[in-house]
Order: sequence, then structure tokens, then C-alpha cells
Amino acid sequence: MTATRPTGPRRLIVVAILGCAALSLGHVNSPHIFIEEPVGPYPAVVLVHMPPAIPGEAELQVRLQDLRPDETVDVVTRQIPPQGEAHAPDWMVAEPSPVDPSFFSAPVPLMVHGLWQVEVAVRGTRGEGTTTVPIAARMARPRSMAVLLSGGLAALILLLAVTLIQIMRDLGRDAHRATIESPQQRDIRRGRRFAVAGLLGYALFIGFIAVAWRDFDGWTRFMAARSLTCELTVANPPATAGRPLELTLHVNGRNGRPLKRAVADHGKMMHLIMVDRPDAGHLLHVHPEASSPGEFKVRFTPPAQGSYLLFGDLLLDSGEGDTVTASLEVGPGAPSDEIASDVDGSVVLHALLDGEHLGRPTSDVGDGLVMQWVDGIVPDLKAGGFDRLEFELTDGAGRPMDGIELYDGVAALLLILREDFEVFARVLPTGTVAERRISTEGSDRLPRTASFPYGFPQAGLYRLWVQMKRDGRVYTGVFDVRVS
Amino acid sequence: MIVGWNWDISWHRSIGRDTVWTPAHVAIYSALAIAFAYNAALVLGHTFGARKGEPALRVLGFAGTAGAFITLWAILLQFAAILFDNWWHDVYGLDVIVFSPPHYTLSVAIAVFHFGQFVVVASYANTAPPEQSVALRRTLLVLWSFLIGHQLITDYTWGPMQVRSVLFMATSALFVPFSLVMIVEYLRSRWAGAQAALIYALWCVLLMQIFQLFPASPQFGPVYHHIPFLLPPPFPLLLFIPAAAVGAVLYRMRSGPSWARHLLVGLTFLVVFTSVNWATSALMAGPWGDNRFFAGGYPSFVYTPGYRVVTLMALDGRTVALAVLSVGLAALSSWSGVAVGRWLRRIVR
Repeated sequence: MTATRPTGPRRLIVVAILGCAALSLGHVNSPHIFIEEPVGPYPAVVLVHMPPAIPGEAELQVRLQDLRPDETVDVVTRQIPPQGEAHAPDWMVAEPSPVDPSFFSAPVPLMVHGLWQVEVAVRGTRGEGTTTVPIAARMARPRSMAVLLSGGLAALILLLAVTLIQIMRDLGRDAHRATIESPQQRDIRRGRRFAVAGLLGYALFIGFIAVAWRDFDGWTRFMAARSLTCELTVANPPATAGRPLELTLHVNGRNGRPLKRAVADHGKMMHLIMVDRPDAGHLLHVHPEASSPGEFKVRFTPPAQGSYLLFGDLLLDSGEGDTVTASLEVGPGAPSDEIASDVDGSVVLHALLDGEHLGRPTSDVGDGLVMQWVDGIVPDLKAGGFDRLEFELTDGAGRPMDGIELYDGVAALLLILREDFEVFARVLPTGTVAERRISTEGSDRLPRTASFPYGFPQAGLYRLWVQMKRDGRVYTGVFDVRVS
Repeated sequence: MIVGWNWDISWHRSIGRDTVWTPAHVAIYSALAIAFAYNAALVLGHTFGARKGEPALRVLGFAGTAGAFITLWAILLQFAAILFDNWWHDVYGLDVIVFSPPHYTLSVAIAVFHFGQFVVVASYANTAPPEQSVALRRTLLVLWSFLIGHQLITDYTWGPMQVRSVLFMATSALFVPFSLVMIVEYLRSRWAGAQAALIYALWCVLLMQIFQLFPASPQFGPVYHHIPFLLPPPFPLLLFIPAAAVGAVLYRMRSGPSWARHLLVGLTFLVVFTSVNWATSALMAGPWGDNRFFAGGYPSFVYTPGYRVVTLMALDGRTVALAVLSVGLAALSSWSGVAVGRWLRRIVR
């Protein structure tokens, strides 16, 4: 991050620049894909567990929601690579689970970088249907080797060196002697020469491996860093609490030029989420407008002094989602506890990540209303699994409220942030993939329960914000959960 | 081991990477387990068993034969390489490059493994009664053909025109003359190199024809070729021709100065090897090679458009410089082949 001081009220200044990590489908370090939607006549949840690196093998899971025991169903899948359908392998049968006949899984090898489309077809007695899951296969930044493995390998390298010296010494000194008499001086000298030669060769080999590894790692890191980048500027500095700000996010594509491929996601060119660090006490959800290619402008009022981390969700014309990040420093001013009228989303005040909310099943959202986990029970959450996170907006007596309105084009919205700000996800009732809509055909009302398919990628303390709209106002419930 | 590795490479090329327990992997693990058991038994026998007290090498307090320790060391190196490789795939991706550091390590480990197995038999052959010499000689030729095949497969898999690359010329000059000269020197037979190279060609052709009998369909995209069976290994290099030439020169020059002898061996190898490769690659890349016997028309991988792109030799300064360097490397390789061959003849433990 770089920062410069304001030099004049009318000059455009750079407040913060952050190189953005390679992020998948509108998330930060939350790579797996969750979709809940009907596949033909079968309500289904489709999960894709992404591999740690590309090329790699993802795992596709299909859970059919209401499969009766007497129903027979086949699930088949096909991966369409970025090169197009002509280069797709044949359809592959997804294997049913031996313990749960409604659960199917299939490997999805992703051998090249780019946007893949995985087709999932369900065929059974009710009929058949197909859905397509977009998968962005991006080069990941290499991770370090675990201490246990690196220690083990170092021990093996040492053991190999020690044994090689002894083997080479004996090959030179003893291998040709048919008797067990003591070696002569020249045998000993030859043994030493062999040992030195062996050690030298071994050292050269290890050195060669180390250099080749270093070069490849450097290339991988360079390629992985080629992601969307974001530069944040403030048109009317200084940025202080309570004072309307005009922000511009300059987003460059992977080619380093202004991004031209952004399209609207649920009617918005960008969904910008701002959270103050380290408390995560303030959440702002605003929607910048695209003023020119790669430029997204927004006007909003920071509620309080602090350091804000910004997550900007974008949808590209390929169907691929991406998230850019930036940071914004807001100086002291006139803080306000009121929700600023220019914020599309909402502000939640003084809800710190201090354990006060941990495990609490309800959250007061104002106007006498309460957001709560369905049935008032906080589920037991585990990393690496699948959860359906269900919430509802109720009155003070716990009765679910009718009259839920569309917000951001969906019935509800879930924002997920880990305590260390390293994991962020914006989840819709349809899952983690942008621009998928649930049909409301046959019903003039949105469901009273907001349900989100998701799986926490890592353990830790998470803050969840659930947003629902009613009577033209966005209500935000705050829930802290520990994922084991 | 040699079947397992060829099978595994073919599996990767035809189907894609699969589970840990593919038949090809099982073949490799089985070979490693058998080799480990046999060589560990040799060591335990010398350390605690009936052969305790016999002349042996001593490593970490254990006693055993030279071949057994070399093989066990190679298995340990393979174990380290496999650990490294698994981590590599997790971090950088599956087979993101064929010539990765863990694959280099594995390749060296396998070469040492084959050498160790050769030494196991060689140390026995050196003291065996004469009536066993024919059988032992044949065994040694077969074992050495495995090492030759392993040396070539790491660089030759990626298409018939690969043999015309300048890099292939240099790497072959460094490693191949050693194999051809070593067996000639060890067995004291000018045709031993050609015989081992011919055995390599025969088992290679056999594997090629067998692999193509098994159906396989690509499960990795992007798919560029729809070949419905296991892709065979590439048609073997006709290495027995340069091997025969090298053997003849080696014997003809026995009385001359050592440096001139090896320089001439290096030059002979390079000229004959390159000429033969040039001719066979023309055959393989043309319509005559596009059939099940020569298998010249098959791709390197079904999920890549064609063969690996290589810089082919051109008559320019770089090629000439590399050719001169390659003659030097081949001479060095030949010298080390003679040295190791002589040393192997003396091994009795």
C-alpha cells in the first residue's frame, strides 16, 4: 500500500493503492463454489471444492434435495475447458454415495487456466434437467512448505548425504576386496576420493534442484500476481468522519489497462463492501457507478474515523466474478450513529468482534425487528464442509415478517468476514456464483426465510452480516460464529 | 519398474492424472516393494543372518553388498522425491511442467535404482562359476537395457522431432555414451552396447504394441485428440547402430592414447547417433510413421495440441558450438563409462 498526503482540497489524491490478490468469483480466500437451484425437476445443491492449485482436480458434489427412496436418478457431468466445447471430454457419470443415494460426486480436472464451464445433468423418473457451473481456474500464489514436511525432507536429505558418503567410501575402499582383512593405505585413499566425489556430485545435484525450484517459484509468483488491481482516489479530500466523500476506484485488468469487461451483476456495476479494521464494527454496502472503462465512482459518508478495508465485487462479461480490494483511511470528524442516506446498504454501529455477539442467535435490527437464526439455534459449523445458513426477520415476539422486498435483486444477502480479514464472501440465496436467479414464478411473495448455501473454507471466528429489505429499508443482522 | 513407469506415462498421456492406485502406480509400488524386500534381506542377511562375517560394505552399522546399498539408497531418494512431488502438485499444480525439480529427482533416483540392480547381479557374476556366465551375461544385458531405456525416455517422449533438437544432442552426449561404453568395458565385448540397445528397442516395441490393445479415453480437458486406447511409448531410438559403431571404435583404438580414443568415440557417437535419429525422425513424422507399429502420429498428451515445441538443429554457429561441446561431453561420458566398467569388474562385495 502506498499513500500520499493531501496537497489541496481540489486536487485528486491517491489515498490508497492495493495490489489485489487473485480472487475467485467475488470472494477472497473462499474459493469453493456453492449453488442452490433446481436442476430440471430436481431441487439441488451443487458444490465444487476447488483444488489448491491449477492444474488440479476439483471435486464436484451434487446433493439432490428431496429424492425419494424409490426414485432412480443418474447424474452426469462434463467439463468444458476455456478452449470451447469442441475440446471437452465425454460426459462422465457422477458416482452416488454408498451411504446417501441423493449425494453424487465426480472429479473435475482443471488442466489449464481460464474460465471452465461444468455441465451437470440429472436424469430420473421426474424428467431431466441441466445446469452449468462456471469455474474460474486461476494460478494460485504458492504456499510455503509445512514445517513438518520441510523438516522431514531436510532430515531425508541429510540421511541421504550421510549414507551416500559411507556407500561411496566403501565402494572405493572395500567393494573390490574379497577378504575381510584391513584395507591398505591406497584403498583408504581411494575410498576417500570416492566419498568426496559422491558428496560433490550430491551437492551439485541438490544445488541444481534448489535453483530450478527457485526459478519456477519466482515465475509462478509473478504469474499469480497478474490479477485485477485497484487504485483508490478521493476527489474531495480530506476523508473525515461524517463528511460526504467522492471516491473513485480505478480498476485495471490483468493486462494492466483499465478494465473494460465489467458488466452489471444484479443491476449493479460494483458491489462495494467497506468494513473498518480491526473491529469490523461498521459495515457499509454501496454501489459505485461505472463512469468510464475501469472507473467506478461513488459518493458516501463515512460514519466514523478509522481504517476501512474495501471489497469491490465485479462481474466480467465472461461470467467470471472477481473481487478487488483497497483500503481507505478516514480521519477524525463528526461521527454519526445515524445511517447515512447516501449509503445503499447499511451501517451497523458498535458491534465489535469482541465476543459479545459470539453464539448469539438474534440480532436487533431496529424498528422493533429482530434478525435471527431460524428456530433460534446457531448451528455447529465446521470448516471444509457444507452448511445451509438460514435466517429470518421477525417481530419482537419472534414471528417471521412478511413483505420482504428484493434487495440487490435477491431476497437476502449474506456477507461473511473472518476475524483476520483474510476471508471474505458475498453469498446470495442461490449461492456464491453471480447472476443466478431463483424463479419466483407461482408466488407473489419472497420467502420469509433467507437460506444461503455455503461452506467455510477455514476455521476461525467469523462475522456474518445478513441483509434483508422491508418497507424500503435495509435491515442488517450481525452474527458472530466460531467455525471449528 | 520399467513397465510401471512406461505404463504410468502412457496413463497420464491418454487418460490424465488419476488416483494414487492406478494399475500403473501399483506396478511401480510393487517393483519398489519387491526390490526393497530383496535388498533389505541381503543387508539383514549380512548384518544378522547366515552371511554375517562375510566381506561386505558397512553403512550406518549395517553390512551388505554394494548393489543392495545402492538400490536401497535409490529407493530412499525416490521416497524423498515422491514426498516432494506430492507437495509440488499441491502448490504448483498437477504436472504443470514435466521437467520439475521433483521429477528430476525421481528420474535420477530411478537411474540409480537400475544401476544398483545391475551392481547386485554384477558383483555376483564376478565370482560366479563359469557355467552360469551365459545366463548372468544375458541378465546383465537386460538390466542395462532398462537403464538405457530410462535415460532416453525422459527426453524422447515428446515427439519424433525432439531428437533433432540441439538440447537433445547435448543431453544425449552427456549420458548415453556412458551406458554404451560401460557395458562394453564391463563385459569385455565390443557388441555388448549394441546388444543392450537392441534389447531396449525390442521391449520398447513390445510395450508399444501391448499398450495400444487397451482402451482408454481422455478424462482431462481440453481434449485435442480422440484416441481410444492407451498411447504407446514413442518408437525406440535405433541406438544399437551408434552403439555398434562406438563398440567398434573402442576396440579398434585400444592401444592408442586414452584421450584420443574417447574423443573419437565421442565424435563417432555424435555423428552416427544424430544421423540415425535424423533419418528415423523423418520416417516417424511422415506418413510412413503414422500407424500402430511406429506410432509416429500420436500426440505427446491428449490435452495439448501437439508435440512439445523444441528448437531444432540448424546449421548455424550455435549448433556448431553445441556440437563441439557435445563431442567433449560424449568423450567425458565415454571415459567415465570405461572407468566404471573396469571398477565394476573388480567388485566382489
